[in-house]
Amino acid sequence: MKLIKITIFIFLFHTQLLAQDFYVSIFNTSLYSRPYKKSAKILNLKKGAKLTLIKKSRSNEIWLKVKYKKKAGWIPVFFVSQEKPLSKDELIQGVRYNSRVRVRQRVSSQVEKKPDKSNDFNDKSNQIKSRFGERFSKISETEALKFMENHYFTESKLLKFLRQAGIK
Amino acid sequence: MVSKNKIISIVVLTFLFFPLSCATVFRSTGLETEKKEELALEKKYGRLLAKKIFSLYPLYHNKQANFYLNQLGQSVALFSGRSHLNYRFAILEAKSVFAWASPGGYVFISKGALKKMQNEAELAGVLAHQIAHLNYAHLIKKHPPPQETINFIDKVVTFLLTQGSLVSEAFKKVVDESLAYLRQGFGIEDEYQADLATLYYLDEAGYQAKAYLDFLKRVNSEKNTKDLKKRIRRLNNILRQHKFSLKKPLVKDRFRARMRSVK
Repeated sequence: MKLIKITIFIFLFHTQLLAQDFYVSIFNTSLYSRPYKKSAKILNLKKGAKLTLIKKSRSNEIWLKVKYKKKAGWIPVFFVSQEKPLSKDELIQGVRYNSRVRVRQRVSSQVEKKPDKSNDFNDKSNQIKSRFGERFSKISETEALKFMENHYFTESKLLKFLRQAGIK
Repeated sequence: MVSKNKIISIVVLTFLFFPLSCATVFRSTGLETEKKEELALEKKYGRLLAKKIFSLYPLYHNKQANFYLNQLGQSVALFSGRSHLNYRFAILEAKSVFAWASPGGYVFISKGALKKMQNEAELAGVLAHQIAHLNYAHLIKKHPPPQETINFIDKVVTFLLTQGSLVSEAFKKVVDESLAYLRQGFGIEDEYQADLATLYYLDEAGYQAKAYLDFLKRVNSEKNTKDLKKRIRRLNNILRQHKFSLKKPLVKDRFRARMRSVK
């Protein structure tokens, strides 16, 4: 009986101690004093900050009470993950693809200065007129996807964009 | 007194059960683990579906508007759950009001939807909603991608059978089905889940969460559907109960300036 009790104790102890670690998965967020967004912010948390779960909110499944550097507070479940967020190097192809494109663009700008008109929507040779008179680009699906994937902004540029409108 | 052997057996038993206990706790939080390979497969799936979407509706040829959309969308994505995905956004040449998300971070919005919006917060809300669908992997759960062939010989056979394409017929079928599913719309439970996350993403990014509800109300006034009514009622309750700030900005001026060229 004693043996079982000790086993259960160690089992629960381990679960509490090690299994309930979370990481901040977004760029930055705050630790709140109460489980709602209007409450006071205790401190700022950066992406990858390690948090220890204390308990979940009783009223809803959204807020978690966590501990960070000896301070306890609340954080929404949407902004944490069990796995450490991937670093930039580990990101899947998109960024790498874009960085290669940028390198290619830099190199080609040194070698030849032929303008790339494949995604130039203002170039009328890339447009067709519908029967309603609207202009549509005649670029292929692959080119449209490439155009979409070429939009990449660094974190600092995105923060600047938000700050310009007085958001952050 | 507990003997030495018994203590050893306790420790061994504890470590044997430990992974099980971890799994239980992780599952109970409703979050899922992500692996790099899964992300690569998701990206492939997303690219195939994105191409299908572009074959249905062409890309709206407005560089300025697409640039702005990506700036805004990627800013919102910084404050959403899976910031290691590369989110990309595009405007589709369509008059109807809709927004779609393809796995791997590809988000589409119709020109018709953009015209219905009055401020940047509303647009951020719609993009955040699509990001939420991606974070919950709603589409992938309904139409999971087929298992990829890892074997080199299998890859060669697929290459020969599909006349040079490395995409199997099974994969193409799943992509077709998922496009049909997107056109039909997600189930109400998935929409509820994404709506709740939308409000949190929007508020965290710094916009007024209520703006998303305002946009849905405007859409509902023209396209009255039962599901949309239910969602609006539920969002009203959430906004009241979860105490979101109503003082955060809507950003009207920048939105109007950047969207002036959208005709």
